[in-house]
Amino acid sequence: MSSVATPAGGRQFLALGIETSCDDTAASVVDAMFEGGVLKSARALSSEVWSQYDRHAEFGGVVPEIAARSHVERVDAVMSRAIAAAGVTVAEIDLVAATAGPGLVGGVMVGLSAAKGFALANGVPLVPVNHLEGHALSARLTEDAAFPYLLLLVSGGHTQLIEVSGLGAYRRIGTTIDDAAGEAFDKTAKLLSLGQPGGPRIESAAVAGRADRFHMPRPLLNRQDCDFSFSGLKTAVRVIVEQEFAGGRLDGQAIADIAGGFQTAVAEHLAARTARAIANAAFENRLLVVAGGVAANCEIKGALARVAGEAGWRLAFPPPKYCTDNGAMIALAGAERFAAGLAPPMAEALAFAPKARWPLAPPIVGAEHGGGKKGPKA
Amino acid sequence: MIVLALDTALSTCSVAIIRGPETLFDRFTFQAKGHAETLPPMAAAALSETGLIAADIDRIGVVVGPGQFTGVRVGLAFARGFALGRPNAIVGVNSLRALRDSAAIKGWIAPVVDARRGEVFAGLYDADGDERLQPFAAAPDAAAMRIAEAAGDADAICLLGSGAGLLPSDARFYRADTKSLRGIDPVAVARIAAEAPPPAGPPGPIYLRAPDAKKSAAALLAGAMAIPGGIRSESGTTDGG
Repeated sequence: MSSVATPAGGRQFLALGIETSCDDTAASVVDAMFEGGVLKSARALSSEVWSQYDRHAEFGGVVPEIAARSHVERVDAVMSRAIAAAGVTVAEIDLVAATAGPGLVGGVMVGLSAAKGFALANGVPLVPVNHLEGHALSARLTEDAAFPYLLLLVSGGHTQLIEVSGLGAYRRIGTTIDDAAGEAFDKTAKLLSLGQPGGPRIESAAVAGRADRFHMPRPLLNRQDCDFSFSGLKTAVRVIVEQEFAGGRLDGQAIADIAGGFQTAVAEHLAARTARAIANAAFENRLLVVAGGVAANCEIKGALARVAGEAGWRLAFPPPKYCTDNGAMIALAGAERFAAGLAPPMAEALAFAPKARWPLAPPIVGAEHGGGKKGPKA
Repeated sequence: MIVLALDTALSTCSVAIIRGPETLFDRFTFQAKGHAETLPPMAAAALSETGLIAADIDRIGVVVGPGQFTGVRVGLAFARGFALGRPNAIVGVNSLRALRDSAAIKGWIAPVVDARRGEVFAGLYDADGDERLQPFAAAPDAAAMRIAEAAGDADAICLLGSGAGLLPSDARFYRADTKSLRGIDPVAVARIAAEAPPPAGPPGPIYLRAPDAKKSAAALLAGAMAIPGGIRSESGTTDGG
């Protein structure tokens, strides 16, 4: 352990973060400074991402076994590159953090096992990190995002509104009752034969489209909670695609118009539910933080900026490279947990079991939703 | 030479450390699951009980399969993280060779591991320990034929491992007393690694089976639209992946 004591009595850590929960093998070195266990500043010195898109493309979705095989092939190379690109050496790393769930457990196991080996060999602490906590804290890498804040987490696997009152203090106030927003983008892109990843493909197709040509539903308008739903939208897209195809009208323009209509409907739905959460927010700190890969979509960003602005709230979102899966957010979450004394002791960390399901915050009492045999993923 | 051996490929988890002919640490559990939780504490115990540090370890021998895919990856990923920055310190050991060397049996040996789904992973070693059949996956009948054929005029072939009972009888086959063999012995793994030539890079896993995945019709049509992969670097270094 070679963390540096700063003149002000704080501590400075170089944290190595490893992320392998889906189809990106990622690692990063983050330089984080703390005073009294509280984050003062953080900077990603490197962020390496090895994308496996090409390996899954021909299967029309992420194949868990292919993802796991790909992660083990490259995890150490990506870690080494992150350390080299940061301009530091293995010996200078003060702690290692790895995603320990939720996600595809075969991949999580690879990154977590590599982190365990690294921690043991180098005598540094290991912090198993909840991937969702990484997203929840990711804005703190680049933005002024002091606690507390309202978090909208929108990714391929998750769509949640969470009150973040401090490190490890999360209260879920809304979640999807069916698909995640990113999942809806991927499925819609598939219906429109736009290829994957769905988010960027739909966003580019929508540029040439008219969002008002086809009617798309606005989900859950009559519900007073802050939950989300995307499966009705997906069905609407399928019905329109089938009708246009049967009528011989499914040309490039129609696809662009459907993509545009879908994207606008998603943006408005996310904005409407977030506006409701803002209206009900119980804290004075008027800050909305948006994280997750879907936050990279410009129309969604615009819609959220509008509702935040109308309520007099500040909006913060990390740059796209820290919205999608990355190692820097895992390194930061690990460093924050360690500095706050919330990391498990070494023996416990080395024996930590990877988790396919690991909710960041418990479900709202009385409003638990389904989502598969074992309950919702998160 | 000090060698650390790690095995999580089959239904056991084990760690050993040897220094030359001397065994400094040797631990073993039976378990079909949970290798990711058991191996790292066991390796930590190996270091603390021997008073060694990672830099004292000259080589890491890790069993890379064939075996359970998840277990194979746990061992390999742990070894790669442990040896980060010195990938040439890792030696991959095949599980069938390790099984053969774990048994105190002379003569021809065919290690056979139950690969499930109606298949076995098998290999063949002659009386001198030379590999006569590289690890392969096959249905038990086909595996028996390949072994019998490759054994030429050998008088007897000892079948060893969890899949030994799955092969049909053959006049020359006999089965080892399984009570005397608990599985892969990590000390045998360490010795194989110690005797191996210096590796040129980190070993890869031996799966012998393609991943379960069906190509989607849409994807077959859209094959040309695949986005090429590559390490996306936000920190100034790039390569084509």
